Amino acid sequence: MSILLTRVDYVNVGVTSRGTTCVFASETKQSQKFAVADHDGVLHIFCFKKGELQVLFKSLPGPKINRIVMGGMTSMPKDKIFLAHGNTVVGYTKKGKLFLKFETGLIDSITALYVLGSDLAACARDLYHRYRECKDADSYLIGEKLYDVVLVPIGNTAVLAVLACGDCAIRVLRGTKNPSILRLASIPTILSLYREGDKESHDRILMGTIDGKVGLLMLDNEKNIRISWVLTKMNSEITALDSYEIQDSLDLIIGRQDGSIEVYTLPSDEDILPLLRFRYNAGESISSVIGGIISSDDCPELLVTTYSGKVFGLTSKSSGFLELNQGKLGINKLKFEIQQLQEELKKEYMGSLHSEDTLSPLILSVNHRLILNKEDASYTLLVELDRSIDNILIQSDTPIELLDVEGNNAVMSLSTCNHDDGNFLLATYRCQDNTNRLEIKLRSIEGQPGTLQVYVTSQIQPKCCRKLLIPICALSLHTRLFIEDNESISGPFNELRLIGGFTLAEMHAWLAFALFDVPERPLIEEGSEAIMIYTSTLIGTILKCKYKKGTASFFSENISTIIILRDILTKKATQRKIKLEVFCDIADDSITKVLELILPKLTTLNELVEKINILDTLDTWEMKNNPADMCTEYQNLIKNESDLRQQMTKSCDALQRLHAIITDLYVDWERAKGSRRISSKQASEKLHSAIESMDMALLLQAFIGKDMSAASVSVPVLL
Amino acid sequence: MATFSLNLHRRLEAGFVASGKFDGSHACLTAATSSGNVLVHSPHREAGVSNHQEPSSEARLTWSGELAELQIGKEVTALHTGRLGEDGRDVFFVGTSTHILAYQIEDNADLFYKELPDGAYCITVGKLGWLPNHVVVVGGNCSITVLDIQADEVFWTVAREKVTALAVFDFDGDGDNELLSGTTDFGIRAQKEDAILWDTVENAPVIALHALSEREFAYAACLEGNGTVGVYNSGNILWRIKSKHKVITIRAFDLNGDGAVELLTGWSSGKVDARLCSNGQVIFKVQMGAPIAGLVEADYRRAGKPDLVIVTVAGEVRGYAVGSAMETPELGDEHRELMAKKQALQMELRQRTVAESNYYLGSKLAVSIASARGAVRLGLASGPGLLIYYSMVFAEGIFEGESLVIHPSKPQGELEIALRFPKNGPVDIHVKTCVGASGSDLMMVLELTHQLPQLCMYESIPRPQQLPDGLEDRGVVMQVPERAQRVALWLNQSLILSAEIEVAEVGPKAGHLEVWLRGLRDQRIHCIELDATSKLKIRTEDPVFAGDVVQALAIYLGLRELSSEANFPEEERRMLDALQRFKGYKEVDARLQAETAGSSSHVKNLIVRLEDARILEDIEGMRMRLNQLKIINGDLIRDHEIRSKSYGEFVGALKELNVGIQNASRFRVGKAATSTVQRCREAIKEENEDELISAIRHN
Repeated sequence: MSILLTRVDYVNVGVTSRGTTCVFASETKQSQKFAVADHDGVLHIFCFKKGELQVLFKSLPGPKINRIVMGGMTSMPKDKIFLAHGNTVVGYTKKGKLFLKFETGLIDSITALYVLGSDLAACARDLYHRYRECKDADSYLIGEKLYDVVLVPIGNTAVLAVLACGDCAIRVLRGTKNPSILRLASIPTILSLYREGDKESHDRILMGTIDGKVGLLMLDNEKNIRISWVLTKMNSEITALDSYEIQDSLDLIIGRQDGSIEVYTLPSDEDILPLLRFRYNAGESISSVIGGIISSDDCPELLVTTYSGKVFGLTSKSSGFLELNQGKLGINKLKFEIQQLQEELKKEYMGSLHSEDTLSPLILSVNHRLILNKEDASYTLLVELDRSIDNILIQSDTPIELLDVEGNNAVMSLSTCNHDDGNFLLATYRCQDNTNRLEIKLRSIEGQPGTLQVYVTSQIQPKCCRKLLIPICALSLHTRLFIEDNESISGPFNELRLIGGFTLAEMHAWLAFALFDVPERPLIEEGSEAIMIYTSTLIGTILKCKYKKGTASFFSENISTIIILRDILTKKATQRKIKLEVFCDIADDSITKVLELILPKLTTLNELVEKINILDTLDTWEMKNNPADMCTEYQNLIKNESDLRQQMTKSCDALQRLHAIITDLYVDWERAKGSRRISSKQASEKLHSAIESMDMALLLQAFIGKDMSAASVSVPVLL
Repeated sequence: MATFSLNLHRRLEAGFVASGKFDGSHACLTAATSSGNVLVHSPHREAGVSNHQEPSSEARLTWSGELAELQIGKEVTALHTGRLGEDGRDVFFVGTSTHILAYQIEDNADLFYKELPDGAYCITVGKLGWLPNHVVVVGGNCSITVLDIQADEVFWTVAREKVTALAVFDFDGDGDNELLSGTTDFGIRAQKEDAILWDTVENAPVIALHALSEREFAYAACLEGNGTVGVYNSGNILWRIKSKHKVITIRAFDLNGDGAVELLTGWSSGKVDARLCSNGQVIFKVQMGAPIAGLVEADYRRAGKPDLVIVTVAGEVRGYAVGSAMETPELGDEHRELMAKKQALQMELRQRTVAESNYYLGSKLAVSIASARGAVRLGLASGPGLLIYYSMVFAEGIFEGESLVIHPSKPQGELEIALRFPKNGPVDIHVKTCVGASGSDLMMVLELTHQLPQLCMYESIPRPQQLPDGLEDRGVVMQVPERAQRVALWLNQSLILSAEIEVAEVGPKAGHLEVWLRGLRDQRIHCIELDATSKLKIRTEDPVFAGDVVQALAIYLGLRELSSEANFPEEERRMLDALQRFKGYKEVDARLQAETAGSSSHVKNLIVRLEDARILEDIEGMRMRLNQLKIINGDLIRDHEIRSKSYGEFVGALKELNVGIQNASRFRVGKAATSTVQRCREAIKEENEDELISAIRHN
């Protein structure tokens, strides 16, 4: 079933956004033209003639192009290009003739675009807007970041809009009211109509998510949408999707953030899962992958565009044929071009002494993303540069722990830090040659917000670096929870109530400092009240935020969450000189709930540690060779050794983290309940035996029971 | 593609794998396991051969099928195979922290078993240029011992730290083999007898050295969290690469069949890669399922040619034949490389148009270096309109990691970096400074490479008013057949000075040189003095400083022989103290050993009684015996702890002695240094205190 594809490089353009490559349909089985647009604002249209790449059209540089899509008459194959830069949509014919320039009037720049016949859908931040023949048709404010949009016709005139939304949902919209919602486990980032050859399906949509899952969505006329199948294996983010027949059958083509391109079989039956046929890694993130007949008339291939602007094909043509075709001629031509460039480089160096170029092109484009990993409560920071990275410096003004990532070959070095300079972390990553992207895993501490400054230095002379600022929220390890029925979550809640002269928008902005992934706009439900629900990735406690103009209430079982939130919100209010009245209602049995959530985790981890210890001992005494001599418990251990060890590497210091959480909980509990401040050292001493025992009753006793010795050392303060 | 693969189903220790033909014709694999045993795997052994022989009393090997186990009972610290003398069979060497065992596998008998108080942390076999026969070279704690086939010591020398890597090869291309050694204090040196031909300092403890071709060798160095591999040719580095994984072993093997060897590296991540010796380019790599335990060359298929054998800690064994990684240059690849190069050039051109304009805003970075206030201070100042965002100093083996970053809370116009080097010696620093306009997020990075001189951690001071006690007569005195002017030149090169040191040509002080220095690390005062009669006095209390000065000066002046008088009372006292402790340990150990023997016989006795009680179904008796056993067990553990503690002290004392010898030898150059080492060694062996002191003081 597996297929063999060979890489052939075609051309380099500027840095590209995702979804900025299109392939034109062709009536006969001839090689197809294709268009690529880049951040320099240049649209290129290429075609192959006699095995050689030719530029048909090249536009003048302009503002950064975010997206290009194909459009045209509904009855004909799509033959026109629509590209979006800023809030403008520009149309070109396949010959490169400009036929449309349309200012949409949207405030934010367009991030997603779709054209169907005379309908044009544009998404800017959290707003979806549809135009028909360049006149406003309908518009809908989602309040969540929009990642992608697809229009599907129903009947002759009506259209359905399918939107990929940042709150882990697919919304299907007809007109301007009541979209139907399909909740997913993770954020969908890309939508692509299922196509067979030139024929695009009207009821099947391929979907890719931020955590690397791919699925097929089925749509019916009544805007109901359901999942047909999903490949649930977690991986790097999906950045490009297509369906195309390369060999024998229709294939699913996937491009990812980590540079891998995968080809799967597309099953005809819903019950069969796709099978992997081909995998390739390009080393930098993929902007687009499209199937087509590009370089030669009879061989299907994949046309790939990468972030730094490399355009190449993965062709099914045999490599021997390739060599004949490309031959020494092409190589000599390249060598000549390189020589010319080198000479120009020398010239430029001398010449630029006096010339003052005011039109400076964009250099050092950095693409970065911070992702919260729910399973181990850590963050992954992805940094990608459009050229080779020399080194990356990470500076943090709050304690951050860097974790080792497999596949990251950079040499990491921690420098000594002077806390007086506001440095809690100074780490350098010195990269190996030809590294364009780096994945860094880090862990923050809740209640210690701050900013990461990331300096990315390129390898190319004269060396330059770009600085990125990445905020770390106070409740950094909380993630959004999407529950339709928010009354169903129960549990004794502690309540924090704030009353003061703030507006809804102000409170929403303050919360954005405290919580990760806050929606673009407050989500208003039930009149004027906005609601958000978060859950802790560490222990699974809930945080419910309800706020409106003048009052805000926060509910959580976890007293630490409440205290952190109170600290940050009062601080923000003081900065804005807004007076707040603060009320804290502590529910005594909330502590039981939290401990009930933590204890099972603690027990499992302890057991795991013990099992690993036993395995290590068996190793040292070389007793693993004859498992039959041992008791069944040990035999099972040996059988599951690789699993256990894998779990252990995942949760290497989770035990200490849980201990720290319990200690913090106690400190905050004392602070909220007894208005006493105790140091975490005192707390951990007091709790030590109870934590070790892992006994609920003992722990509760330590929390609630009177302890005179602790009282004598603590200093009472006002809450 | 792999030519064979098999699994030993045992966990092996990383770094302790060797192969040899113990019967002279069939290749065997040996490896250390975690519990202090050594495994011998012999796939071509004819089963049952040794069964007919009477098991001799000293047979340590027990065969079961293809595998045999050698019980060492102690942590194995070195493993090697090699041929000694005329015998065509390989001898198997095992090193522990106290002994070396040379074993004849085929005879199942010891060749020798010798106590080495310095331990055996690496072993190699070869023919050294200045010795007539093949010898065993053993690296121990601060020493290198050379043994012949009778286990007699034929050569001994000191090293600065634990010796962890050895190689015997022709370093200078004169046809004779030299000895190359690597130590845990990052040093590599090549020596011919006692003459040090070349030495260098790497960035981490050296764990492996391997001869490649004439004058060319590879080394591997490892620290927690990273590993380095590199190749030297005639003492010049050709290339080095650093990875976040650890290097376990290196080996030369012709994997692509082009007639020249490649350098193979086995990593803790389970990766093995082959690099061209000339430039470090990777031509082959393979990922194994577990960390690499070792790479050896063995003719495991009996093909007549040795294969490369990769062994992992999980016991997986995989073989690759010569030429199994043939290069197939593809036109497509070449095309792609050229495309990438073109893109890089285009980008450079583009970057220049943006970054260049900044250059001519007068933005040169002003740099100053001074030795002051306890550190070497690197001052940076940015040009007008620009601020320094951060500065990054890369230097190997000086900081906790490989870099030191100074990041002010707000971008500043000036920045001072305090560098504190733990050791003397020239240091290469590589500074990257990021400067840019205020509030900008695109900055330029200015790079600066600088070599700091050998004595940069000493500042020049005027003659102190009050001399510290005893400085007057402490230090080293020697006769230097050179003019003061040349010594002054050397000092100007080796110190960071604001004004050059000059020697008066006329007047009462003509030809007289006196320089006072203060150490930035410990604030101690030192003085280098040279009078008109060419008598050089180094007045100091620090023997390491004196040694460094003598050695560096001798190299600068091209002196091959230099003898001196040394006076370091504290150092002498410390040596004598160490000698006392060394003696003390031997007595304590003998006594403790006797006690342990007594306890263990008691244990045996109790077990017999316990068994009796069990047979008689005497529950009470069993309980009593078990309790007694428990008590004795506790005693045994306690005894063991005492013993291991006192052994630790013993090793410490021995190390102190060896360091002392090293220091004493460094006051001299050439024959004088050699004889100092030998005299000290003799004195320690005989436990003769007076002789030891005299050896340190005089030639």
